[in-house]
Amino acid sequence: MGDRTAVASEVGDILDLVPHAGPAPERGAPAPAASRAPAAAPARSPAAMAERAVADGTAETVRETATRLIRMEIAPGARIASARVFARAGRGEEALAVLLADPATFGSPVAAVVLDHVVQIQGLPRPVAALAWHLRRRLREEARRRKAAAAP
Amino acid sequence: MSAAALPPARILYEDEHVVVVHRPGVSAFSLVTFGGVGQRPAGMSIWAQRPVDALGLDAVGFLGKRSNWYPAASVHRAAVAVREVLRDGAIGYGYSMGGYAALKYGRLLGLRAVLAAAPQISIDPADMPRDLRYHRFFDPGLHAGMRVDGGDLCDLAVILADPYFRLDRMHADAPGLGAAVRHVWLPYRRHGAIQPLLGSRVVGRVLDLLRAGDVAGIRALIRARRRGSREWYEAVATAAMQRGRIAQAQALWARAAELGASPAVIDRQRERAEQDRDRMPVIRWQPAARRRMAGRVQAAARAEDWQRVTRTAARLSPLPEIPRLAQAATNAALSLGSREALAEATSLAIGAELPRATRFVVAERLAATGHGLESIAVLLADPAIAGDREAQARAAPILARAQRDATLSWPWQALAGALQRRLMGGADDAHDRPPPEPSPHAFARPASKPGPPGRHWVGAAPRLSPHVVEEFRATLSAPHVQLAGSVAPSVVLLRDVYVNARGQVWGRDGRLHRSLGRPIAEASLAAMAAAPDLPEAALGVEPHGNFYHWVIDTLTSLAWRLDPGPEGMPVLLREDAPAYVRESLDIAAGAPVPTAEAGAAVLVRRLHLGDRGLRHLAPRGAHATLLGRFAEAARREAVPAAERLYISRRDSGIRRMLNEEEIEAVFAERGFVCTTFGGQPLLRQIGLLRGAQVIAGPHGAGFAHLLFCDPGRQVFELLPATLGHLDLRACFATLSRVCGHRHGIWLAPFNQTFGDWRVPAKPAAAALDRFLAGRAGT
Repeated sequence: MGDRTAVASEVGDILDLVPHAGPAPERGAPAPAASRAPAAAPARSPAAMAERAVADGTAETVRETATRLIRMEIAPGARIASARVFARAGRGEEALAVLLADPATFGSPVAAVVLDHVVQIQGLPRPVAALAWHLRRRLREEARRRKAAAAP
Repeated sequence: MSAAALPPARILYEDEHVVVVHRPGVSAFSLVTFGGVGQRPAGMSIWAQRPVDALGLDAVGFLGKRSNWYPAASVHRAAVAVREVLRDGAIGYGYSMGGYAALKYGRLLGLRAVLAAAPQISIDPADMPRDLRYHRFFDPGLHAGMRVDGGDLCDLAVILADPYFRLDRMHADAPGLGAAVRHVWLPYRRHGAIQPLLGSRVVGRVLDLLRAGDVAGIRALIRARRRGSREWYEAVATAAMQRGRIAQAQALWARAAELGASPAVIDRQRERAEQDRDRMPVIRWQPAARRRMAGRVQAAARAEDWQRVTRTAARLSPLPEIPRLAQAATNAALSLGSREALAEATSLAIGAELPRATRFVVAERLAATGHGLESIAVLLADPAIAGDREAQARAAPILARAQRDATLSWPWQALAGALQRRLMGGADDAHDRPPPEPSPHAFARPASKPGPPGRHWVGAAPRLSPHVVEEFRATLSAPHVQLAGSVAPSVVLLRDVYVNARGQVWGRDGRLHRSLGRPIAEASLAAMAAAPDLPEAALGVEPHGNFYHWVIDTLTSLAWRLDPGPEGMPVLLREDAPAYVRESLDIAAGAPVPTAEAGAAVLVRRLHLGDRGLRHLAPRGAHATLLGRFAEAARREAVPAAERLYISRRDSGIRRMLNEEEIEAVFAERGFVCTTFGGQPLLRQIGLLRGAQVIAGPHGAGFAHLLFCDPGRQVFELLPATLGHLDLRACFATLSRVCGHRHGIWLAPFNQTFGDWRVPAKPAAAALDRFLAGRAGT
């Protein structure tokens, strides 16, 4: 047999190169190697990062920031807030992608605050516009059902 | 007369029902306007006052004090005063209730022509029993004989109305109005047929054309204006949405927005239209009609009349009692290769309240056919997926597949990747897992060289889309086919790992080593604490319960263990492994093989994994001993040989061939012995294939036995041309290539909605003859 690295590449189709399971790093804990570089940037809230990217306005900055937000492990509230920044700036695809990247947020009733803005944005690809619309409709219906159930 | 010298406006007539105001103007003619249901007298105001003032028209305005449809007695009394002030060539103009008055009293007032937008000809329930909108305003004391008839009309009465709005159409088309009436149809405006006349300039031009009797000119003017009219786009978008043309509606609203429509207004319009769409079939369609429509969709899908499926689906809301509508619409769009149809089908699936399993099927199909964005949108349109672990497990591989769409834009690539990782229970870091350790065990490396690769032959049914054939040819040229059998297999060792019946492998710290595209099930994670502890094992879990995957992927990956391999090391199997698994293990080893079972979770201190799959398959190399034992065992069975063998799938419920009996007859005529493999002993199946020179049949796991045949067999495979997954369907052709067989594939249409197919017998027979004669495919 060859060395470990050679074996690893040879058996790449056996062992899925999926990331590790396990809990997200705790706040304040050192970041894992792969995410160390982005973490070196000055600490800023996700919404502030989005604000800055939107203010900068260049496609490259928006793309870089949105991709980071999509991949980062952030609290649901912070995710929704940053998605809303993109939505309010008319960046519907970025807003939706940030919002939907975590199951904790895309099924949340609070997501409606992002979707309310996204459905007003024109020029989105058809499936994206339809997705935003129907997600909002379903979240609204769910909220109505919950309200009705809670009523005495 | 200059505007400054005009006399002031004054009331010409007033009673308890109507007020008539005269606003003198500079025009050579007079305009008589009639207010609608919502307008009430206010000083000297009249209906359409803005264009009247802007154009300096001499105008007389009728306004009702209630929604009273201008009682005839009042108008007759007012007419005396009105006629006195009207200038030559006076014309009339009214909307809805005002349109009624313009028609009814045109001749009485001496008008030359009238323009009536969305008028009624009566609100008397006796005249219009099916139009319930205005019955409550009908007063027998005021409205006796109110119906408009030909004798009431002036010489030219132009009616603007929506031809598709049933309630207005029944008035516009009412019998008895005579030749004086001319129509200008304004599709999709519903009762808003006045909309195209908003703006003083357009009113002025239309009135000029009306005075000239140029109805064609009015039509042309309105038609020419609609491209720049946001109201037109809004109206047509609303109509499209009400008819279930969601994607088209979106595009039209987008245009309306470009023309200045407020997003908030569009939002409201869309919400209302969508409610209308969902309500309309329920209100209008009786259950029998719904059943009829459902039958039409089913029949069209069965007949593979995809145009008709698309047309019918567009008329239907995704009602639960119309089964397979979303699948049928998606399959139809994919089969047609139409972007528009795909947009509609996707929108339908996104908006429909689909059973979860159906949503996964549609999303999976879209992903498999390279429509990543559509797939993600369909999948994520149901927020309930987020909260359900089982649903997340189904969604993860679909997201993985969607990411393969090279046209997927970066936000969606990033989203699909990140969400998939989260659904898999993983953090966003794949780089700090140490590479696996080499196992001390290895595959045998005999010195013999691989034989020449097998050759392919491709044909297709006449009706099949050429792009499917091209896609399949491209698949056969793809690296994973061309490089099959080229990589020597090896064995790796994982320490202290858990394995479950799905074949997933993970560490004590929760790290995934082998996910098979799914997160570890809750039950497996919960079973870790009390999991049985094995010191050592070889991984032999085949998660699919599929013979092909067992033989080609898993059994061959164990060749190092069975050759004869480390004595006593158990092979880890699913606890519910089919009988052929243990049987084939024993044959491959030439002796009983110890096994262990992986249930929810088993802890293995030293787990050995051999390389699996066609890439590593070496019939003359690493797997030669294993295959030799099968050959020997099959020889001992002494199965009567048939030179030409047809492996039927009549015993399978999957990918059912509806006319297999007819196809079997085609093959039988050419000397094939037809057989099913269900219930036949494993060695007999292998013996039958080994004894045949030509092997044919529909795509199915029986072809996995080609592995056990000596090189040089001729294989003729009837292949269902499924949408997507064609790459997977190339597995037997790839196997033949590795094993040195000549492999013919004949593609035939597959009905993805019903999961079955019908192979056209005559062309199939012709293709078989060409193949047997060694001639090229189509």
